[in-house]
Amino acid sequence: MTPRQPVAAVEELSFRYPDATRDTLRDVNWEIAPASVTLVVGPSGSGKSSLLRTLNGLIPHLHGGQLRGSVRVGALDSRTHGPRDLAAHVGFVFQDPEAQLLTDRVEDDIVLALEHQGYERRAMRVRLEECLDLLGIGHLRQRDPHDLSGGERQRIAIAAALILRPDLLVLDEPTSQLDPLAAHDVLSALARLSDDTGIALVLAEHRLDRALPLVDRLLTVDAGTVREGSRDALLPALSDVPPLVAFAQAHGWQPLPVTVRGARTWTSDLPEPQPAAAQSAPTSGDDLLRVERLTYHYAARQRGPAALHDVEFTLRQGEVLALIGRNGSGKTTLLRQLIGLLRPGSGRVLLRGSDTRTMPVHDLAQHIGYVPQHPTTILHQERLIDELAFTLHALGRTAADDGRALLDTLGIAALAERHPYDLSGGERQRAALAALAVAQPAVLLLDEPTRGLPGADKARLAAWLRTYAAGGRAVIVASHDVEFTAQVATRVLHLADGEVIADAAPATLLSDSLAFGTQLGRLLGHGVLTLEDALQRFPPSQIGTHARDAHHR
Amino acid sequence: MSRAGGGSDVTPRRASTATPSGSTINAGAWLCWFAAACALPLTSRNPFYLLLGLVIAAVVYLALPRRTRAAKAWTAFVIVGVSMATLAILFNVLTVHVGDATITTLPDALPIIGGKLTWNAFGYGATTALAIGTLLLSAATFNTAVRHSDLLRLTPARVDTLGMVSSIALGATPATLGALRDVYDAQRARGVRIRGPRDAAALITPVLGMSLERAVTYAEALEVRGYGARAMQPPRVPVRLVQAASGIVLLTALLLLGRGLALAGMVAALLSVLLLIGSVPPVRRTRYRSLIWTRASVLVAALALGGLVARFVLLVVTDTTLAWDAFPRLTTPPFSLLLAATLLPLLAPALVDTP
Repeated sequence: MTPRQPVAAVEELSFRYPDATRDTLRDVNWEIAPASVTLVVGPSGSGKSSLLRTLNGLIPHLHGGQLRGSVRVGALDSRTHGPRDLAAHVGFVFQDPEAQLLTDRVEDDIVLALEHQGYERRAMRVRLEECLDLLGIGHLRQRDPHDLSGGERQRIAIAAALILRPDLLVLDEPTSQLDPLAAHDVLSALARLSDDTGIALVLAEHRLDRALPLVDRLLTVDAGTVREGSRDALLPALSDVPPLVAFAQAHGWQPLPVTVRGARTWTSDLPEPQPAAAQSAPTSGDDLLRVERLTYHYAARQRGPAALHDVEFTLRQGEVLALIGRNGSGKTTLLRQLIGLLRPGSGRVLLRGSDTRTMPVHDLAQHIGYVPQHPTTILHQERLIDELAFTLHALGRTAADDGRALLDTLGIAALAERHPYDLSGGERQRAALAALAVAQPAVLLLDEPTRGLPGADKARLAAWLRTYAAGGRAVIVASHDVEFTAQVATRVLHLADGEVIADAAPATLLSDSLAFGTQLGRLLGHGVLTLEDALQRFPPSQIGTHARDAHHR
Repeated sequence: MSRAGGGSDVTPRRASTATPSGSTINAGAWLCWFAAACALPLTSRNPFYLLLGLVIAAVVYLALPRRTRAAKAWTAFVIVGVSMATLAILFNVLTVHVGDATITTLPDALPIIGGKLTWNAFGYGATTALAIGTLLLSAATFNTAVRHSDLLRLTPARVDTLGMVSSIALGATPATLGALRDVYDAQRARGVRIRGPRDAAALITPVLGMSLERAVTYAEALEVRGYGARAMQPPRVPVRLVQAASGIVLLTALLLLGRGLALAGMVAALLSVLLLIGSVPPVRRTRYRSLIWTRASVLVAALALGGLVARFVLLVVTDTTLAWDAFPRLTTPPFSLLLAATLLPLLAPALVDTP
């Protein structure tokens, strides 16, 4: 293959799932150049995952459906060659690090593809060492992948995809389930991979702030139609950009910076910021929840390290409390304690002064709504709208309305008649939230609610949650998503190894954190966290004149 | 043909085949043990032998050096299975009013359960429960002891689809139990109280949905790693011809079985299956890890299969039997020390497995 030949070419591609009434992809034309790094972006349910699956023949060979046009990878046409044939040319990494682990030892997982391609053991060993080194996971080789962190698992999945030395590596939201540091590890590994090997990468990702610096091409998918071009050419036209880029756009910086480092060249001569707007202090209402010296061990007889240790805090009406911390820091365990699915080893949780240890879960559910990490665990009705009625029925309530207004507020009213399993990941997240929020519990607990949500939907969700809390209720959100946390939280609790290591206002805690700081916070300092803050403190007219002049000088 | 690639001066270290439980017995030997352990509950309803089989499986299970996460999931599975088997005893006693040994009589006015309750029904339910318990405990032991990846490697290349399906099925058990726990918790937190079959939909539908999605992702992951790829050479005999021959032999097997010629029928059925497997184009597969036959592995495999063969010989050449029926008359089940002795080799893993 000459360097100029594309590693994959998509021509006039249209695809419709079996029993679907409309095409998921329409007339797609796309060439993937060697050594290019392409970011696939688009709203939830727009067809990104489907497009990626056409590149290695999973569509149509495994999923069925009607495919028109062609996808060629090297000399192979995906219409006549399935994923098994294309495996040597296209590596694929899925969203869920857990679901793609095929064996219970890291080495075995990585070499599996070579065994099925008939490689000699000597060659397998060479390739294995190469991939372990490339991904920096040599020390994990004998471990059971199920015992590793999400970031480590995802790097193992990448190594397993690379072992056949494909020309193209496709990754479907590889960091969506990872905390910021683990996501950084994975994306750093990808950047190194791209630099060192020249492999072409195609990456679907909602966290544009992290992914944009890595890529040189952008492909937007909207309702099945695509547009492809260089990152710098397409970025200004994106409707949904990271706060840093939106801030740069507001000030007319060209070319648009995609990293904090790149943006610093514009801000070096900034004047002093405007004084911060007087924040209307969150309504300090009555105590809803009080957690007192809560300690909990998963192991019997309190052996081993505590999952939660001496956790204390109070949640008041009007607050949106964000729980942040690495994977395994105790966020989900704390939420499960609050809803009564786990009971304290010592300490207690008080709901409006009543000890929850004596309250059954279904009684707690009258006051506390819990939206779990995996929305599929609660969705089981034929239509999305029926899920709302089901919750009200389970709680013995009668519906004031059928809940369509709530669906509308969350941006999923058009999906009311759809089966929940036909929805995309981001749509399901909002469907599960609607199914719980319809009962208007005094406290709403959300575990990673932004997984699979693009930026615009996150902003809409953040606004809705703040309005919800302002109505005399409160919200607790466990999230890895720093930008969302900055938008939504009135207070942040930082957990590490089951302990609360910080409890403060977002402006204090997030702006002082290296791992959990927002892009604009790192760029501008002065307690700035969100785009709103940044534009208020550094209005476009002011920064535009100074910074543009400085830059041109 | 196989791929060499990479450097040529690298000497591969002999990859270890240590199992997740820390067992020193390889997957092949465990497979022999599992087959022999399952043969008993599949062929006998004699409570004495079944009880002995259950005890042996329990001893081996408890003797395994280490409990993995998957093993813990199987423990839960066994508990659920044994509970259901116990319910089966109760169900039999209350609904099967047949037999000569009466425990008591409930008024006929009671629907379904009214009538005499018999020891025969209890005996039938108990032997069924013992058989289910033995099967479940043997499966739990086997799954605790071996790595799924080693089992995938043992699958003949020609039947890789079977390997994929088996692997999904084996992985599905702990995954389904995990999904059931998650769904149960999530629905409770939603205010749902599971009080009867009508509420079960709130559990079953999401569990099925999650299991299905997981299975699809697993199958996708196998496909994108090229599982079962590369037909290396064209078949020497046309595939359709071999498949047609397989069908004819299968029909012959059915005819033979219908005429009461059981052995000939089973041989013909086996031949049909072998022909069907043989019709699949050959696929070359290599292994990163060799199956290392340690002394312990050889001993376990030999004893398990030896016990099975000895049992078969005893049944053919003597008048001993594995059969027993609680109906219509309740009799003491027959017991042969020799036949029981053929089960004892199944204890071998507990005795020789010292990691």
